[in-house]
Parts: sequence; C-alpha cells; structure tokens
Amino acid sequence: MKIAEMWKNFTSSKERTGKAAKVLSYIVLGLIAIAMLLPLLFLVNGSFQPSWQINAVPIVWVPREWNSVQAGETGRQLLLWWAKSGDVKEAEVIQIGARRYVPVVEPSQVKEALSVSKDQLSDAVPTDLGGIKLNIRDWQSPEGTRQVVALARDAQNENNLIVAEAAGFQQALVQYPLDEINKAKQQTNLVSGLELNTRILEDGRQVLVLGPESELTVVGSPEIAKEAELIQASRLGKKEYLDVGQTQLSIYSVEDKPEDYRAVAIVQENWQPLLPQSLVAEQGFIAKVDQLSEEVQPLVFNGFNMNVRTYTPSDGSAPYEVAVLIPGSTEFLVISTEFMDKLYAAPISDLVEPGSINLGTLTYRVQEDLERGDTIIPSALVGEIQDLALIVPSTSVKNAYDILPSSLERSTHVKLTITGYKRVLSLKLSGTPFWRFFVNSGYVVLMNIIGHFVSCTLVAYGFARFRGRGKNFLFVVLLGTMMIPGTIVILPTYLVFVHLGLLGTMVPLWIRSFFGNAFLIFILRQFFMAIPYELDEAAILDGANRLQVLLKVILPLSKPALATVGIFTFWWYWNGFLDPLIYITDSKYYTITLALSKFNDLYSRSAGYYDRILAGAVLSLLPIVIVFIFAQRYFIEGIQMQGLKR
Amino acid sequence: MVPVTKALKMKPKRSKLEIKETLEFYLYISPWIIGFLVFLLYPLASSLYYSFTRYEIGTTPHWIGLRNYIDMFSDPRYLNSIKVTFIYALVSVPGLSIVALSLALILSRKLRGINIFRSIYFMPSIMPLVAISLAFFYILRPDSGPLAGLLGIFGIESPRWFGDEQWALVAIILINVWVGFGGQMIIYLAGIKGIPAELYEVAEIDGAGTWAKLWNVTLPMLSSTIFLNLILGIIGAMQIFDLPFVMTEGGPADATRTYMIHLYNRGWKEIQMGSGSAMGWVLFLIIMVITLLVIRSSQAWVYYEGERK
Repeated sequence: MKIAEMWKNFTSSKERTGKAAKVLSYIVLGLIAIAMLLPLLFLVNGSFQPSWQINAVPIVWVPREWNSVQAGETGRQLLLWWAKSGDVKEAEVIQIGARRYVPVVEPSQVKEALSVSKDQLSDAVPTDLGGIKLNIRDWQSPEGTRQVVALARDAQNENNLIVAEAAGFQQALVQYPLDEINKAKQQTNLVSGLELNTRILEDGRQVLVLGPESELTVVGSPEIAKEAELIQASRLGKKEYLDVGQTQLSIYSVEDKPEDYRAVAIVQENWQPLLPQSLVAEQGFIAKVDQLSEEVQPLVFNGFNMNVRTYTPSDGSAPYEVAVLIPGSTEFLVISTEFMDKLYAAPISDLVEPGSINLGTLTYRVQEDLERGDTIIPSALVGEIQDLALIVPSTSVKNAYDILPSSLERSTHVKLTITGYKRVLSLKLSGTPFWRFFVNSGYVVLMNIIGHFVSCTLVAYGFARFRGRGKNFLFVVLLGTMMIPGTIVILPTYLVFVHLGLLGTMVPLWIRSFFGNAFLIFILRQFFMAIPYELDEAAILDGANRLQVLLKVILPLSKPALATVGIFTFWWYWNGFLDPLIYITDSKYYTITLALSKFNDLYSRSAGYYDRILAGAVLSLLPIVIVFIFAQRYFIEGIQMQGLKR
Repeated sequence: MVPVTKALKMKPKRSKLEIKETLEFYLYISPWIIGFLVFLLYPLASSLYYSFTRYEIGTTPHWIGLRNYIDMFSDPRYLNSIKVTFIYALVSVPGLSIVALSLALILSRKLRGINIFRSIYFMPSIMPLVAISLAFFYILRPDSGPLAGLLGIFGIESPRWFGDEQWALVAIILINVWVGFGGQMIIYLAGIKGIPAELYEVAEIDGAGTWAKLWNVTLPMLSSTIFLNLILGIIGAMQIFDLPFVMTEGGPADATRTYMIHLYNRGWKEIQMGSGSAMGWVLFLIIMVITLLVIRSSQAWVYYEGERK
C-alpha cells in the first residue's frame, strides 16, 4: 500500500517536471522566435516611416505622419506642433518666428574679476538666476567653494578663466537678442586689472556677454497659415519688432503693399522654379545668342521671376517672346512664353535625387521625385533660384505667443508612410531606374535555373544510369569539388572571364551554371537512383532512346528534386553579391544586391535617405520570402541533403 | 561447342556496347567535365602560376618567385586580416553550433507548433545578406536605432557597434549567428530524427535519465553531423565577406577587415592579381590544414555506425 502510494507520487511528480520542461521549452522557443523576428519587424516598420521619424531621438516606434497645414495656396506645407505645458498638450500651433538670446551684464556691475585655473573650476551648469539661465561653476577657492561665472578666457594665461562671483550681478542680468549682440562693436575693457572683451550696444551701453544661449519660439494658431502668401524676399522692407510675451517677432513693411501693412515672414528660403519635365523635353529648344534680343525683360509668371527675351526664328517667321530656361554663353535653352502658365516652384530643400539631361552644349537638371501630395512630378529645373518669403499680415498673428522650444512636440498621426517605397522605385542610380535592378536579378536567376536544369539533369542522369570506365573516380572528384572553398577560384576565374572578354557583361553571372553544380548534381543523382530501372527498360523496349527516357520517364517523376534545384538556384543567385560586385561595372547591369550596396555607400551618411534604403531592402527580400513561404519544404529538404552527404 | 562459339561471338559485341555506353556516359557528363576543367582546374593551376608573378591586369605576368608570399607576410594589414578572420571563426563557428544544436534538441521534443518555430528560425538564412546588412546598419545605430531604443527602456546604453573597434566584430558575429543557425539546426534536426528509437529504449531500461540519454545516446549519435557542420562552418567562416564588406568595408581601423576583404582590396582595388592569387592559395592551405586537423581530431570523438575499432 505504502509502496503503491509512493509510486503514484513519484509518477505524478515526474509528470509535473515533464510539464514544467514543456513550458520552459516553449518559453525558450518563444523568446528566440521574438529575437529572430524583431530585426525583420524593425526593418519593415522602419520602411514605413518618414525619414524624420527614422532619425528621431527619442525613438518613435509606430510609423507616423507629421501633421501639416497648407500655407494658403502656395503649395508649401507648414508643420504642426503641440504646445505643451508640462506634459499636457494645450494647443496645436505652427511656428512663426524664433529669436535667440544671451544673458548680458554691464561691466560696472562686476565687483571683482579673478583669473582662476581651470583645474579649480567645475563644469558649467546652467542655473536659473532670477528667471535667467546662467552657466554657473563651482570654484574651489582657498576660502571654500564659491559659485562663479566665467567671463572670458584669460589672454595672459591659457589655463585660466576669468571669473566673477555669480551672486554679485543677479539684479543687473538682462537677456539680450543674439542677433543684436553679433552686430554690436567689440571693445576691450579693464575690469579689476584684467582685460575683458565687451560689446557696445546701439544705445551706447557696454556689456559683457555671458552664456548660455536660449531660444524662444513664437507660435500661433494654424489658422494663420490660411492667409499666407509667397513674395520675393527683396520686397521685404525695414525690419521692426513686435513684442510677443518675453520675446520679439520681426515684422516688415512690404513693397507695393499699403503704407501701414506689416508682414510676418514665417519662412524665408530659396525656391527653384520648375517646369514639367515632359514640357521642357517637347517644347524647349536651343536658341543661338544672335537669335535672341539683347534686351532682357524680367517678367513674373505665377509669382516667380523669369528672364524673357525676344526670339527671331531663322526661317524668317515672326519673332516671339521666349523665357530663358538655361542661359549659356553662345546657346540658350528657351521656351515660348505661352507655356509659362505651367511654371511652378519648390523649396530647394524638397529637391533631392537630381539627374541631368544633355541637350547640345547645354545640360539641364531634372528632378525625378518632387512630391506634391500623393503624386511624384518629374520636373526640370529652370531659371534662377529665388529667395522667397512666406508672409502673413501681422494683424493675423494677434494671438501668437512665446514658448520654449522644449515645450513643443511634433503633432503626428499614425500612418504607414509609403514615401520610401515610392521614392526608391522612382530612384535612379547613375541613370538606371531602380526597378531595372530587379529585372536584372530576375534575369540572372532565370538563366542560372535554365543552366542548372539542363546541365545538372544531364550529368546526374549520366552518373545515375550509365556504366563507364572511370565513373566512380569521377564521382568522387565531383563530391571532392564541393569541399573546395569557392573563394579560392574567384580571382583566377575572374581572369578567365577577362581573357574571354566578358568583363562588364552579365554572362559571367550565369554561364557557369550551364556546366553543372556538384551539390545539385548530387541531389538529382540520388533521386534518379531511387527511380526503378525497370521503367527505363520498359521505355527502351518501346523504342525510346536514352535521352527520351530522361525526358519522358525520369524527369516527370523527379519534380520534387527539380524543384529543389530551382529553389536553391534562386536562393543563391538572388542573394549573390560577390560575383556582381566583381563582374558588373555598368549600372544598367547591377543586380538588386549590388545596387543596394552601392546605394548604401552613396547615401548611408545622409539621414534623409534612410527611408529609401530600408524600403529598398524590404523590396529585395520580398521575392525570396514569398518563394520561401510557398516552397519551404524544398529548402528544408535540400538543407538536410547537405547534412547527409558526408 | 555451339554455346562456346556463341559466347565467343557475344563477347566482342558486349564490349562494343560497353564502349558505346562509356561514350554515352562521357557525353552526358561532358558539361560538368568541361566546367571542371575551365572553371576549376585551369583557374587553380593558372592562379598558382600567377601567385609567383607580379601581374597587373593589362600587363604580362612577370616572374618574381616567392616575392608575393614574402611581402604578404611582412604586411601588418594582411596579418591583421588573418587575426580578425581567426577570431571571427573561433567565436562564431562554435557559437553557431551550440545555439543550433541546443535549439534542435528542444525542437526535437514532441511539441506542438514545431514547424512554425523551425520556419521562423530558418527564415533569415534565405535572405540576401546585403539587405540584412542594411537592416542591421539601421537597427544598430547608437542613438536613434531601434536596438538603442529598446536597451534604453531597460536603462542600458547602446554600444557604438560599428563606430567602435571593440564592438564592430562582435556585432558581425552576432548577426552571423542570427542569420546562420537556422540552417545548421535543420541539419541537426534531421540527424536527431535519424537516431533509432531502440537506442533510447535500451538506455531507459538501463535507467538512464534525460541527461544521461543526451550525453550517452544523442550526442554520440550526432557526432558525425556535428563534425560535418563544424567543417562546413569553418570553410564558410574563413571566407566571410558580404556582411563586413557591406556594413563596415573592414573598418573601423581594420577591426573587421577579414581575409576576403583584404584579398578583394588587393585584387580588385589595387589590381595586384599576382599578390591576390598568392593570398587565395594561402587561404586555401589554411582551410585545408584546419579541416585536416578537425578530421584528425574527429577520430577521437566522432562515432560512425558500423565502424570497426
């Protein structure tokens, strides 16, 4: 009885440990599965993020789009921010101005300046002193620790800083706009016998400039954007300041506007006039300098300046007005002014991925991926870059207020951005469109599959079904070649192709497959051997020759082995990198892996391109992952064969 | 008499058939033979010759004896590339095997959903290394990369990975394990499945527990598979190229400049074909020596069924 009970306890505890082991196994498997999937998830997730987000610190995990408002009818987007108070989002705003400030103090307020060795000073810590931040350091003086502010380096002694006690000028501290300080004249002044650089302000006051700089941003309701218009920056008149809270907003009078009109310049930036690429290609033409009037007339089309001249056709027809798209010394790229209603422009920061088109002696630049809304407009860059200002009437910014930049947070909404994909697909690498690299890789894979199908089946059939002197020896040689590290022949094989004159073509990427592959021959031969020889004999009795036996009997029965051959070939050559790197020089033959690597070399340092790099990587994974999902068992069986061949 | 003449008559006929079959055999395998001669034997032989010459493409090879080999071994960058490759192989090959084998052992238990786990583990091995390199380039960025963000949640500061000489190779080894263990695991799984169930039954009768069975049955029966994976792993690791080339081009400060990257630079960037060939041969010899050493040692620890001792 007792023994039976103990036995029962024993088995149940054994069951329990069994269960625990099972749970533990699942936990381990699950954790590793997460570790395997996480990088892929990061990659895909990143590819759906706009580039600002990919580079954001701290990290924004979910793909988001930055909210923006249209600036009037200008086509310029203004980004939206949340103005926060503490952690509470108070209002959605746009930025309309900013001014930087530094704390200054009059030298007369400095009671005592001392030259102190840097070793006795701690690092500067920005500390609030009566509402103004000041870089305060601890000085281990002979009389104990004192809080001091560094005024300047000591010109006499490199290792010393000139400091003054912070408590001394608390009352006299003022925040002063940095742009005014930079304009002010410098003067050397003696304070406690030490030379200090001071600035002389407009009102004649002399000040010492302290740190740190601070910034106050002026924000306002997104409504303001509605009244925005774009003008030539040269039309902005005298600058005045409008007090907004603790800071000031620059306002300008504007040429050709009423006397009392004042504008706030939200953005001032360079714009590039553009025309549709196809229009320039079809209607633009080259005019000789003697066919154009000397007189140049600056005219405004859709708000942008263009130079207009009169063109006299050489066939004697009536002269007409043309806009100069690209000036030259003897030749000009021009277009009839009747097309100038198509003129538009974009801030040059929006213009990335440029290309160029040669036309006679002139080259004009084109833009493949200027984005407007959801469409990509291929554009030609024409005319001259113009300094434009986005202005709103100062009356519309009444409710604007000042805020610390740290209290602003991007206003976004969750969205998978496909900009990266669009851009990578419309991208050109040394003139070759990106989709072409997929076609090239597909071509290489296809040729290798054909090559392997033809050569490997013939050779495997030979080894499986024929008797011949030296067969066993040759089979051992075949297996032996699998053990030779592939890289040793890379350089000499390269020289073979150099001698054959095939360098720079795609032939070296596939021709070798027409001469078999040891591993695939081995797989096929094993499979053929398993097919009963009686089937061959029956076919031969029916009058088939040996090749017909292979085609009509063996191959139809070998579909799984052929699938393995095809899939392995696809796998190797879709992913292949070293061969394309060595053999392909012309971008129009780049395979996808080579193109990605070149693309990465060119752009990995410019943060704005990460969306494209990630999207390109995801696209290159797609074909092989799809094949894997549908034909997993062939991958796995093939790998197992690799393990069994020993 | 009649049967004898018949037999005499038949013999030449059969040998004629034999000759015909041999011819046919050679005809069928001729693609491989041509490929073997043109793309393996000739390149090997010619590169052995080139390795004793000074040869820049477009010029004629100029015999310089052992000069390439001597120069090579007095080049600190070359010696460094050997060191980097050895460190890489010494850490990543056993690392891969241990991870792959442990997971294969867990997966070989009769659990539900094994196939899903197997697919997930294997998936990275099928992907282009270039794309994986780009992905990790982004993931491992020290400030704004997702891994840094993840570590940040736990209050850990991310290493600078490819900006740091000490971490760059570590990153490459880790990525390589992530990519490669799935394939090895599948080979081990097949090996474990091939172990006859009777062996476990017998062991159980002898009172063996889980560990004893693992130690006395599974591992010895798997030793030939482990051996094969080790050899394939070493051959692969000594030739590592794609991953460090795309991610770091051998930097920072040559910390990930592997043998093949060095050879690539010598051969294709500096177009020194003679010197490149010599390096190819030395790599070949290094791999052969290591493989032979492993095979030698295998006699002590690899168990072959039906082998007589």
